[in-house]
Amino acid sequence: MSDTTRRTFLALTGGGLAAGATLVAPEAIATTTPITETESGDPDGAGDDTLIVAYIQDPKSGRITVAVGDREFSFYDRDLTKKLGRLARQGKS
Amino acid sequence: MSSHREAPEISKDPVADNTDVYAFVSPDKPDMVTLIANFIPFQSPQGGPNFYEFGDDVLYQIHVSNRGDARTDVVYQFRFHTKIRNDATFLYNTGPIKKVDDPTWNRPQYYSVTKLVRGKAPQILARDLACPPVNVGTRSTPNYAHFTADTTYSLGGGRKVFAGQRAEAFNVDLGSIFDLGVLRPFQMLHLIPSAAAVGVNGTQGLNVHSIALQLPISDLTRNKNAPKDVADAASVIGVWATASRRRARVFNSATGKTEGAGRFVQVSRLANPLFNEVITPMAYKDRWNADAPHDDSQYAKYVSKPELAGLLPVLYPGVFPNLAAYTKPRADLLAILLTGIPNGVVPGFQNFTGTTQADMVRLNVAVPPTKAAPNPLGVVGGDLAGFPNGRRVFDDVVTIELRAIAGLTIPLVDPTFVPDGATSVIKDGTTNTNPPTSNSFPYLGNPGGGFQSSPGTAVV
Repeated sequence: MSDTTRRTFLALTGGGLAAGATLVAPEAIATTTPITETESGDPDGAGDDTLIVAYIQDPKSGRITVAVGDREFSFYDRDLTKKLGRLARQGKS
Repeated sequence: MSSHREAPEISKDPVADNTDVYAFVSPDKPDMVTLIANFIPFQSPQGGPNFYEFGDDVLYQIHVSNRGDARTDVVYQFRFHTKIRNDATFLYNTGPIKKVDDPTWNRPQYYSVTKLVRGKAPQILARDLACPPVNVGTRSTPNYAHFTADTTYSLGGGRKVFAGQRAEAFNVDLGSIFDLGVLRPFQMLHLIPSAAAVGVNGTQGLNVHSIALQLPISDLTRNKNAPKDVADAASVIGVWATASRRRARVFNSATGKTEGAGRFVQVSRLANPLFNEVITPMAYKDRWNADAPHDDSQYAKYVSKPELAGLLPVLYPGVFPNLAAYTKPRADLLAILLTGIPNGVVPGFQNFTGTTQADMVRLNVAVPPTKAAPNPLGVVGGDLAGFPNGRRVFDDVVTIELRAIAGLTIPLVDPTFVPDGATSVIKDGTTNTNPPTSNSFPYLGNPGGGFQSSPGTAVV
């Protein structure tokens, strides 16, 4: 290492730690919120709204997530999650 | 494997399994960068009648980070859809396929390309681009090579895109490495010895599906230009690819198909070859695939003290005494894999992207491509245009990473360390035995054909 000391290097790298087609011309990159890693920008890729899936990952939390199209939203309803949990255990509809 | 079946969960979902990522300044067009992401490992060319294709229900993405925070600044998204032209036949093709709109091709696949730039609205760059058919055989897809040109599309300004089947370019001796770490050329030194032998390419005769882009360097860099100063931080981009599926999937018995709902969630991720494969412990590989690169500091401890570096002296008794005695954190590997190599370590080179530890393929675009006699050993072979400065399709990443893990790169940061004599010669002994790579886009070779190729021979 010539012009970088080992100490500087370790600080930089963490080594001291154990742990048919058209194209739009590119535009300036703005300093804003980063792109969400799985954000889909293709409207063709949006799922239709026919299938609606509601799921409860942790019944104790009271949180219910609804997935529809390419969207998701959550709400809290402890009474409903309790009821669904009870029905699920009983296997009743 | 580079990242073929590298984690328990994704190994059950090959359509979304990202196998290799390449990023390099194009040797035939030095003002352009080529990005390639491969998916769907271990494709037998004979794999009909339902041949391999991209997932219509998968979001494929190639990400670029250019401002040093390991977050996506530019991303190219690919969505696919297939059609069945003739619902009265079980056949992939009902006659020779001579062009992509030939009605004899019963199951064509098409795709769209969308570009997202940080802070900008999405741009749909292209729609309904036809993929080539797979290489079925000499009668079904005669003169296959023309399909490559037919399905390489211009996106304007010299930009190009291709998505379809290619020959596997990654070579590795899978059969030996996963059999207690044997390297056939050196197996006489193994804990369970046998006579030295040549390597056997475990990907021989197999195809993959590739998504390839060729873009002006200025499309991808922080300052929207083509940097010429290798030492400039703005000359380095970080690249990785992902595959995502919708959060919820429900099997519809009425159609016999799975339907999806909800946002896309990442199920596969890849940048540096072999990271999730041989660095991340099995218990965390699935979570790694769902994580974003900017959260990779949680995995730094596995890079700092790689399991494989501990195994080499055990598997090859007496061959790696200096490596066995080395107890310091592996700052060399942390740099190569998680931050990039800072200025001052390798003369005339850096690909440092900041202190955020993240697995990305880091490409310094100011380093010109090596046109005459490029060295497949890349930077460790004195060729600054090769891995780990990006990755070219012919870079011998298995040998490079084997030697790095065995200690060859420790002296870059710790001059007191003397690598063991074997470190500079160990290899798995394989070469690319598939159709050759090309000197022009999309660089990966034409896929092996089902009729023309022969299956291997199983030995018990």
